[in-house]
Amino acid sequence: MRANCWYGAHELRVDEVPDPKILNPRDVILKITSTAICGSDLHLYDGYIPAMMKGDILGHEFMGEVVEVGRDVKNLAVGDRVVNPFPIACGHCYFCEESLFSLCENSNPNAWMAEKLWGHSTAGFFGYSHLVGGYAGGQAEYARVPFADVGPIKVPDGLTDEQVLFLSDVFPTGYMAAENCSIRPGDTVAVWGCGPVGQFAIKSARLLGADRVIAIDRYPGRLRMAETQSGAEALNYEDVDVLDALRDMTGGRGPDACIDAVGMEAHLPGVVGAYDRVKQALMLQTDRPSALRQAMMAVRNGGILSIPGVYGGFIDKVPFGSVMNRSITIRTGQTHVQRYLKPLLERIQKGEIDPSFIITHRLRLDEAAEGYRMFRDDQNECIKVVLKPWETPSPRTDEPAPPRTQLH
Amino acid sequence: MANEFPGTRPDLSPPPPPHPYSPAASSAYPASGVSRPYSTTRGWQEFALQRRIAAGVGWFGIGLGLFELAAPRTLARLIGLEAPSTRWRGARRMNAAQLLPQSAQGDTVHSLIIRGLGLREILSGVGILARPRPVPWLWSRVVGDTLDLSLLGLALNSSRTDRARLAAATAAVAGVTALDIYASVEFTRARRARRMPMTVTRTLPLEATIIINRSPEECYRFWHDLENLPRFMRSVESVRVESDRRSHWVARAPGGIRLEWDSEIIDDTPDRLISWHSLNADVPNAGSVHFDPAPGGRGTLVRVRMSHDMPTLSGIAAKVIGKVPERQVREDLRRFKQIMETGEIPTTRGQPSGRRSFFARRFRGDSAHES
Repeated sequence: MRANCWYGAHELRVDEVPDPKILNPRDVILKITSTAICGSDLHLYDGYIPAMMKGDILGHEFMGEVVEVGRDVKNLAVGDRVVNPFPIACGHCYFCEESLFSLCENSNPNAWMAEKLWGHSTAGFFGYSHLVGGYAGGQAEYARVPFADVGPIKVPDGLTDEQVLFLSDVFPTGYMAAENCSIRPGDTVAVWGCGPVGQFAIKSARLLGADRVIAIDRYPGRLRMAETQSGAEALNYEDVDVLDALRDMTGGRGPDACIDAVGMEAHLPGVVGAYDRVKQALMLQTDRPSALRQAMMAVRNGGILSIPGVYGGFIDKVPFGSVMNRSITIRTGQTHVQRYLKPLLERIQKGEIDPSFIITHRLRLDEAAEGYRMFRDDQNECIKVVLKPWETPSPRTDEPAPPRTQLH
Repeated sequence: MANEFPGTRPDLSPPPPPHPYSPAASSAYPASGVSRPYSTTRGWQEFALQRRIAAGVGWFGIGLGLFELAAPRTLARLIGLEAPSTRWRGARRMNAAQLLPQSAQGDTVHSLIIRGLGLREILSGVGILARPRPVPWLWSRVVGDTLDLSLLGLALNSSRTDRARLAAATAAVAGVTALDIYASVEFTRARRARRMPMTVTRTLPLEATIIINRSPEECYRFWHDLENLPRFMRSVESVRVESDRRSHWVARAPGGIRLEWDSEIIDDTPDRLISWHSLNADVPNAGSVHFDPAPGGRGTLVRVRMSHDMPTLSGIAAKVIGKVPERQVREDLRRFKQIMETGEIPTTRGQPSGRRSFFARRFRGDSAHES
């Protein structure tokens, strides 16, 4: 099969690799019909993650059709169309029983590595370095899904791939970020970062009843999407002082909840040997947790700080005195996607939300490298790239190809 | 790094007590009074003398080596390799140099040989003096001495040499050789003597725990079927149950060393506890596994306590097995938990990948890429 493989920073190549096989009784094999590039994939693309190995297959947002079923998977059959959540969860450990699926104790075969860096391990994730399992990802024609009786959810007929694809990660991630804000009627929520997760956080905050949502970014294209799609008020942090503006907009009190959907570009999980490199890299990028610092300072007394943005290691100069003295609650974590699949699928079915609104680009799998480059460098126009592994290359003609970009 | 010169760091630590986790500390292990080739009553002066001898031959080697390097011709004349009136050049039938391709400049070849020998002397000398492992370097001197002696023997057969001087030189080298052999043998014995008492009585205690979301009864039942254990104990290849209490184990230690032993269950409390000790094992081991209800009905707290004894005979095995850490047991327990909770051990072995780096292909073996 063909798969998008990582060979180093900015070195991606769609290569011919062996087809995946069932390795454990609870595995299934999916034929991938749609897959997407996630903002967190850009950290891999930029080579910030030391626990990557050449040849790793990327991609943790994918869906497809079941083509092979392990003997212990009873709830899926060949031909089922499913969306797959990015965390791998066994369904039977303490954390899975507590619905904290991204903290599954059993699914990371390299848990010892993560324990060295974080004290305890997370679940295994698809295509996201060996620190979290080294599982081959879904930017490929096929993918193996472990614990498939717990993760993938069947998609009802009548919904397109693009409507449900983002159940795999960014939609639940934005939704959990908003849910973590314990929104009550009348609340104001400020969201840093208007990428896909930010867009869904804004939309979800609306769905959950926030009165006002303030979107903070520096790309007019992304701010415009937040305004038009979710009725957010836009703040361009290149034009205004965010803290002043937020104070002014909330009568001096501050937003009831703040969401950091930016994270740290330098997402740097690492092994012990890389510790120094991590620290050094963070020192070189002291401005990176700036969204988090701002959100900490901006939130109202007794408010909630929700952090879906990805952080890898250590951050500097965090105003923790502000958090402690002002009774701020911090809620964060990798998304427990399995928890949200059903309720969010229902919302999509009811027409409360159509997640496909964030898609700006649709490419073939073999154009993945270009997709990554655009997503990283053209952030104003490029908000979400969807890859179609089975779309055949259109025959080359002299006529200009139809435009792939549909900007909202 | 340990200093292996005997006596420089007297081991004052008291003998370790029987390992507390060993359920049969008094009988599980072979008695630790293994005969020591070196009794501790032997005086420190004697060790000091050996140290002086070793240092002496070390410095001697360096001095001689420097001389050989700097002035090979002078040395050759001194030891009679060259008859006083003869020049090397043009000599047709000579000596050790015949071992090498005859070059147009015979003296250069000789000088090269002598310089090479000098380099060897210096290397051994530095190795001995720099420590921490003088023993191999001392033996390298013995090997070098043998080489010197054979070259001198060849030279003695040559007519173009000064026999008297050569004989004297040979005698001197033989004396040094004797000294080298003495120092090497003594140091080797002393080193073993230092290591053996440490390894015989040293147990590696370890403890590892894990919480499993299953009842103590289920965990106990799975573990009690000892033939299940290789499924999650990575270093254990097989367990054959021979009777209620006896079982035969085959394991592979890092480095591919195969270990086999019999194990005996000495305490078996249903749903709560299994403890065992090994019989006739190269790496005597004993341990117990407890299955306690975790607080709040959150499954089972599994606690493994184990101790391994260092092997008494094989130095390499001691080194390898001495590194078998708690981590291995912890990872074994993690896999035990995975089997108990999920019915399988999560893995990525055998999944596809793009082309791995050479290192990954060679040493991790986890690439399924075959093209």
